[in-house]
Amino acid sequence: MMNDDFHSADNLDAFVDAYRHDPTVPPPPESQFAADLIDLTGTLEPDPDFAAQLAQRLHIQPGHLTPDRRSMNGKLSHEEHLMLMPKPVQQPPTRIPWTLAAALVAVLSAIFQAAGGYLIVLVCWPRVREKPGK
Amino acid sequence: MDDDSLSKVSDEQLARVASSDHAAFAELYRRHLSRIYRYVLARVGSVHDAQDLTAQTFEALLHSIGSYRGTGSFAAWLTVIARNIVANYYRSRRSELSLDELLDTPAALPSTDEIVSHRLQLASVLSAIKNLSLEHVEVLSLRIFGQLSTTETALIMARSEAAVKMLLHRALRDLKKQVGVNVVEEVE
Repeated sequence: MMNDDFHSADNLDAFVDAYRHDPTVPPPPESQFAADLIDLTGTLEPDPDFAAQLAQRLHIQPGHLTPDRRSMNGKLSHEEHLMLMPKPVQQPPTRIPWTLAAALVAVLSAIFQAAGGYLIVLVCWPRVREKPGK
Repeated sequence: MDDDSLSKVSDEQLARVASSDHAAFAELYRRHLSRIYRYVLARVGSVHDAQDLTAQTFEALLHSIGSYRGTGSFAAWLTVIARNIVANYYRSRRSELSLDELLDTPAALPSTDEIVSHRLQLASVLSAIKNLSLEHVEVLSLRIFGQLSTTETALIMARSEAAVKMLLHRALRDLKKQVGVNVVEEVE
């Protein structure tokens, strides 16, 4: 009786492993309940919103959650679809606004004009000062 | 570690680098979220509490992943974290609720469409699990819901593999009986 129990327990344990790897394995009548239970647990997935929120709390970046193609048969779950959606990224400005460019040109031309005037004064001033002495 | 190569890497290798590699941690999360959620759901019988405790498990993992030494199975190591969190949950609940109230707490059901067709069956299973002995609940949660191997389950329960096989055999027999009782009660 005890040996029968051990034998049944061994067979059941082996069946659980085999069925988990290949659910097409036909269950013997005594393992049918175990097969049904494994099938039932296979349907128990956490809520996609919960999974996405938890991933966010764990600082998991959406791009890091690559879908498992083998288990999903190439399909994305709702959760993974949401996670893989590209988030809008704020691009740094690449063009200078026209008003800023115009202001820059105005400032630069003012500097050049002032510098030009200063050069003229610098060149001419000694000559002007020399005149009275002549 | 790039994302494409992650699927080929073992849990243990990922866990060793996960404290500094976000992609490795994300891969572990992706691989084990459902498994841990199912284990916790089998232990507590309520979706809301299962979500809360699953979240606590992964938050604890994030903080303690650096202490994983890579000597044993990562799946078993993570399940032990979840198991401790479930134990703490029952310890704190015991001080708040009487045992009768605990047993009367109805099992909430998942709301996803896929589960609707299994609604009655899942409700009766979760309800029946509450009537099993703690060892039977433990072996079913670890081996069937938590998808651990016999070796990993034996390690966590501190029992021999032969003892785990026998426990599983008896737990399934008892659960089947309990589910049958529940179905009969519902019909009556």
